[in-house]
Amino acid sequence: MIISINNLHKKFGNVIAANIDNYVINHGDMVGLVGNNGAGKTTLFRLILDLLKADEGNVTFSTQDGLFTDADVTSTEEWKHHTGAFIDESFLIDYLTPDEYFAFLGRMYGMKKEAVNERLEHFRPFFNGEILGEKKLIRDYSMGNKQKIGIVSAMLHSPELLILDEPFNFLDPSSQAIIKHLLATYNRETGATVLISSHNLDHTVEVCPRIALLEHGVILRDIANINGSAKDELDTYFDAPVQAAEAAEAAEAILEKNEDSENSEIPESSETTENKE
Amino acid sequence: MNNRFITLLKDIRQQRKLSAKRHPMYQNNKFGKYFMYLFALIWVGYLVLFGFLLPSLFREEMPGMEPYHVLNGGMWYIFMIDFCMRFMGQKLPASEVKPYAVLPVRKRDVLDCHLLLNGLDTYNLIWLCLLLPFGCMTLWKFFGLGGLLGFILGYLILIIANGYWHSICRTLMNEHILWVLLPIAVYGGIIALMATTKWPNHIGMEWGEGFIQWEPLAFLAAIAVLALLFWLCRVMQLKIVDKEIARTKTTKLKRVREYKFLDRFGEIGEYLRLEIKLLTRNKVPKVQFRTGLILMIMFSVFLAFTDVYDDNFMRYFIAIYNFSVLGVMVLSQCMMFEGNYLDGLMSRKESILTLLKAKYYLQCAICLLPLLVMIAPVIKGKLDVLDVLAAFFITTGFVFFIMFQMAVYNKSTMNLNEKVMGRNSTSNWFQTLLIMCGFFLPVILIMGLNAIFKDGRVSVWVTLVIGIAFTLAHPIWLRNVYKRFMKRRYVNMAGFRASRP
Repeated sequence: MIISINNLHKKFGNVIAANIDNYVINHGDMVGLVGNNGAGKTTLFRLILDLLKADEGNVTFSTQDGLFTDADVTSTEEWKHHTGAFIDESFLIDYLTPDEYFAFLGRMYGMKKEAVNERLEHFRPFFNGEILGEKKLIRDYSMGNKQKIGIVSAMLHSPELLILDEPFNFLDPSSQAIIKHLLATYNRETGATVLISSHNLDHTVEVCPRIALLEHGVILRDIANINGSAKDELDTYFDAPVQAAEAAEAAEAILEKNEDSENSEIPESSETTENKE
Repeated sequence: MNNRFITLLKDIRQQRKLSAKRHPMYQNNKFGKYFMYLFALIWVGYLVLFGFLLPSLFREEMPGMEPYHVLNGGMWYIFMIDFCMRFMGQKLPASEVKPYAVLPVRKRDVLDCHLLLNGLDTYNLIWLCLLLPFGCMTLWKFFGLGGLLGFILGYLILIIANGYWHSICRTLMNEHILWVLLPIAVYGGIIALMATTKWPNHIGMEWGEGFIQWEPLAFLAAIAVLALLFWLCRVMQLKIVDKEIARTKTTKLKRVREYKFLDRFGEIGEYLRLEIKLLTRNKVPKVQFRTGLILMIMFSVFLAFTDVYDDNFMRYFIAIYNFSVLGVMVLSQCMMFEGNYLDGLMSRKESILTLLKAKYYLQCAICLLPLLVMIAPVIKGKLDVLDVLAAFFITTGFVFFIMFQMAVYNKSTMNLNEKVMGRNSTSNWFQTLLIMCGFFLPVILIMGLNAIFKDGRVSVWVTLVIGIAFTLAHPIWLRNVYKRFMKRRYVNMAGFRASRP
């Protein structure tokens, strides 16, 4: 699936949430979206998924088989069969058990029960024996397990475009390792376009060959990440405020030191003043 | 009380004020805010009106007694109404302690603050709107200002005590719904005793007279009741606080029902399954359904076995009400429950249209329930089969057509498991208007046609035909609703997101 973002603008009051002139994500790309809080990552995902109205511009999808070309996401729903997404808990129907939820989604995407079960087998190590076959409603699961249910629900029907917002959140280290592997394999084996966002630079760099750096709704940099080459660039960018703060602190310390030494050079006069007082 | 406690009391009072002021119902829904003001104003108006009317009414009905004796004898009714009114807004202190659990303040102090503030709540003064005019008109001439003040003060103490009694019952009800029988038994028992032995009337009369005469025993008794209920409430809330803090709301499923028979209906069957689970696994829709069912049965029994609703208007109204009540309850909140997971639904093609269809078919199926309930009035000759059929089809056709419009305009998420009363209230003016139209337009149509045609059957036949036409046209109007929903989707989704718990 090819995603074209064209002159996309979205503001919430005075806050710019998206301001992207042109950006294309090609078929088979695996893109990691990084940025500080409020950068507009989730907004961009919502705009791509037609869950939010853009002030200007649009997002279009094209499939490789030509099923649709430059289809504006706002004017058709055809693309929905070919995408899978998990943004937050509001994607989960929490009064169902995970098995019921997966069965429901499977039927929505025209999958047979056997196909759903077969697909779920693939995720069994990720579930760690805590999700399938339990008589427990989704709302009663921990955040980590809800995250797992959400991720698998997005991948269940093997979509051509997979969008995951902060997939590593709430997951334990083992599950983080598994999901990284699952995503990379999924992208490689199916040729699907994968779009994830994360605050974890290490995970993003490890798994995404292409990284978009987003700030205030603007894609500042589109970084080709070959063998983790983006790591230094991202570290430098995100460390910059820390370095600036450290530099400011150092400058302040030098100033204070200078002032102290100046003061210590005139002890007599100050003492004299105090005595006078 | 030390300074620390007073500071805490002030802070909690301020937070309670902000919590009420910033309630999503008021922030997202100006109508809700004005509706509540209007409701409060009407209620106050009623109380003042009754305060002025009751003296003369009591004099007429019971000429041998002074009006204040009559009111004192029936004081239990005031407490009963007050008890019910408190469901609208009174908070349970235990549930308010959680945010303070890890702060360096004693849970006991926080709880005491909430209990005290409940006692000092201005709501407790609302009954003055009735008692003041009533007292001025009936007590002043005999007992002067002193008598009036004693009367007001005594009632005020008992009303505050009634508030703590309400908190005790609500806490128990939260533990198990069957505790609802406790207040029913208490108030029901009092009413039964009033009808048989009259001794609750005598107690009320003596107690009220004691207040008016400033008898220490009367006030001591009232203060003892207040202290006892406060203490009971406090003990109970303290026990519940730790439970509340550690609470993990887990739904125990003994058996996961699959409703396999729905498989044959394809995608609609899947959404039907979803709707059934929505209704059966979540507290709010479950309570609504039960309430609707009780109302329906109650009205049918009244219609069948009494003559209070024998006039034409009420007969037709009850027939239509019984068929519509469950559907109207659910559909007036159409999409509001789904607001909890709408983003997920919207990321799938035409899922909303299928969902709407499933909702419609389920509500039609539920209409078979009143069909059974209405057998009693039919057997008793209060309604005939044609009346019932007309009510059935006008509901599945016209009433549902009206109520499904809410799918386009509702944009507040409704918590699936928060209590029904009070804090989950999300009604808006359009919802109220459509509910009124759903319930009353068919009856007005029937009454109008009855006025035009001498033969009463004409109106029923016309209703039946209109109902069948709307029922058969459901694929057309459901698609229309879907298209309009999709046009408004961004506004609605933003609203659902903003009001999500």
